[in-house]
Amino acid sequence: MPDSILRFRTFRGRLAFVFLSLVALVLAASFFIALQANRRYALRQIETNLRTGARIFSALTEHRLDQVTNEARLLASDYGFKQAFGTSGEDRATIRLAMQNRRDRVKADFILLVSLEGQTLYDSDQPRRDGLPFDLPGLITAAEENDALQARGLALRQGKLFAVVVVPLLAPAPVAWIGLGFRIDDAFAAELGALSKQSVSFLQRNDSTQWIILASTFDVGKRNELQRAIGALTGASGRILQLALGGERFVTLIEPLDVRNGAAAVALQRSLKEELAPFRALEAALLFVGCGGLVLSAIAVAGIARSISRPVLRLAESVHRVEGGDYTTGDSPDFGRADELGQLTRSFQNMTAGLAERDKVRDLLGKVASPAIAAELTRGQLTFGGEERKVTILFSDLRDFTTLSEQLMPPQLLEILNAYFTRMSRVVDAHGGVIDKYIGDAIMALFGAPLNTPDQARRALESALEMRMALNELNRELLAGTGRVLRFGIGIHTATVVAGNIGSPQRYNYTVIGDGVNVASRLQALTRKPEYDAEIIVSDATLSETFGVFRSRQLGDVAVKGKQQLVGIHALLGRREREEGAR
Amino acid sequence: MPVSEAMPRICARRDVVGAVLLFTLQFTACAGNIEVEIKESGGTPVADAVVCATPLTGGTSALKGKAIVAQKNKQFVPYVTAVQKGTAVQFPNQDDVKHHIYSFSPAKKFELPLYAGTPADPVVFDKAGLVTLGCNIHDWMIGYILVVETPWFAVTTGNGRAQLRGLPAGTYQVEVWQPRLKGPSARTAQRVAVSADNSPGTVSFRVDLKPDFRPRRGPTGTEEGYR
Repeated sequence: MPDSILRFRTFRGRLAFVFLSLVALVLAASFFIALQANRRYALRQIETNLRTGARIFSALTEHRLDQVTNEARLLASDYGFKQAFGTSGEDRATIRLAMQNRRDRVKADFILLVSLEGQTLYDSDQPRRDGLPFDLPGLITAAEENDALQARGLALRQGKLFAVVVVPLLAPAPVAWIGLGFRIDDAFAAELGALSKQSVSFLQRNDSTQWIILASTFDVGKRNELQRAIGALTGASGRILQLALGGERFVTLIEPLDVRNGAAAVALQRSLKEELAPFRALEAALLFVGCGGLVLSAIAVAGIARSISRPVLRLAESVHRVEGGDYTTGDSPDFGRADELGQLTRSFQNMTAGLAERDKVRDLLGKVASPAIAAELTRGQLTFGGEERKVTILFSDLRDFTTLSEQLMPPQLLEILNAYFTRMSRVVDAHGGVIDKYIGDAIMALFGAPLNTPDQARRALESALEMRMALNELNRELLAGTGRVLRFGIGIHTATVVAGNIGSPQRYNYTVIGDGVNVASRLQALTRKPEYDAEIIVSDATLSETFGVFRSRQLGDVAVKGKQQLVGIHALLGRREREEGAR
Repeated sequence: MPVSEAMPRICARRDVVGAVLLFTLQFTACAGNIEVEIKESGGTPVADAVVCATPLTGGTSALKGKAIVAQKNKQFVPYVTAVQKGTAVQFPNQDDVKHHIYSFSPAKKFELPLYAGTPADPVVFDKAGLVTLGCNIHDWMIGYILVVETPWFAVTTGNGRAQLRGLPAGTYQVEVWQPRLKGPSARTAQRVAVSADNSPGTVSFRVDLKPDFRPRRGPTGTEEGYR
């Protein structure tokens, strides 16, 4: 069945597609949000770290300068030196040696002696400057204006970067300036880099506005890269940039340095790859979890789809079978399910059973019978081929129906007729009878066939009485609605007849044939006779079976065509009241 | 700019003729006084300022005198002293610790290494000029001795006032020097005439001072360190 297979696949496929798409979408969205958040966080972290590194640099430099200042002050308060300066001021050689001695004591990179007028008396770094004006007059001015008469700062000298402090030589009033300095070189950069775990480079901007590297923690190769990358960068101070050095991306912070006689800066750098490494691990984990989740979802979806589509398919198959007339439901595995599909299956099976029964009864009788009879029929082993049995036959017929049919419009006529039939058949059913057929406006009912009904006569008579009551009720309605009333006549006779399915296989009917049928019919016709004044005429045979339960009026005997004997007839009046056990 | 040793050549004018004249003048009628008041440009009175008057007509006589600069409570007392050239100065140590006084000023280079009590020989200051005293042990100790040619000098007290007494009649160049003085003292010099009858009244000076560079002692006073 290719159709059903297609439908099967489509539902499952659709469910799987929708669900998995949703899951994939959610997972992908989460993943990318996490990715973005990670990146942003990582960069923020790097920035924070770089700025911390910048602060460490400042602190470290200040600390070194504090140390050097203290050393300088110690040197400046050396009495021997004061004496040498004070007593042999013109003796440059002595002074020079004394200064070199002191520089070596503290292991500074250079020592300076400057007169109060700003003339270089001794410069260990550039001895040829002796006698020339000091090349950092700004430092001296700063010291003069300082409370403690000291100053510090960075200076560029012959392409090298130095940190310099200046203190007064007090004897006991200031008589000269002493300076101490140390180089900002690779070793210093290395120390700073180790402390703050980043790459440090010191840059100088020369006249052609190019940055050159003075010192760095990088090796030569990376230095060249950095040189190239920075090039003629302007306006980068204080901002975080990303530079690519030899394929590796570095997040860079360039902080300007306050240098008295030039422009310099420190570049603090962290490798982006290294910083992102822990986040990469997280992302990989997220990806793995995401994919795993997707796979699990797919499995779950397949399972769910199956658990829905399978029962549905089974039901579809069952329906198809029912359509073909096969009412065998078999044992469905879905029968015992507690959920909606179980309910559906159970309902379906009940329906199928009901259909099967009805079909069976139809098959059996060629007509629909009351549920009670139907139940009996399906339970019992019955013959429909033909048998002789005693049956009570009831005929009823409407008076002046033809006239009525001429006076009314067809739809209205049908409505009235069907209303009448509906009520009458309900009564017959209720008393265990079976409507054999409708002949125009006449009803033929059987009591005692196809089931054995012991009190069939009584039932038939009860039925007739109730039919009268029902007709009265109907007439009340009809009178109100149409202004017309219906009148009928009923004939009842009990006889042994032949009962069975009569007709062809394509069209048959469970009915009875025999004289008894004619008699019943004849009795019904007799109700037209005004001299009888009877609505319900019953035969002796029937009445005698009721043992005085009913009130009746003898009407005499009549001759029925085909029968030799005369039939005794009575008019049925009603039930006998105040009789114990009368039913 | 801090004090330079080369600077204060004040009240150092010499005149031989003047010297003779002064002798003469000594026997004339009663001498006058000069009241001096020194204030900073902001109006604050200036203490520890040396005021000296050099006669423009006539000379000065050398009065050999004595002066005392003690060390008390690890300070030079007085902070600023003025002496006439040729004065012998004593440096009694009134502390219970030893001091090592020195000076590398061109006007007088000397040192009194670690001593207690009073050294036997006073130090004679035979050159005019500024002498800056220091102590090798106590870095904050600083004192000044201004050696002047004229015998008429005084040091202002806390209210910024000083009095020059016994000046013979005549015209004088009155100069002021203070350790924190900005610029040469000649810039703020004034000419004052002294007559035989009475003093010329208060001579006011307005001076500009540089900030005090001296390292302060520790807050408790027992802590003998820098600020």
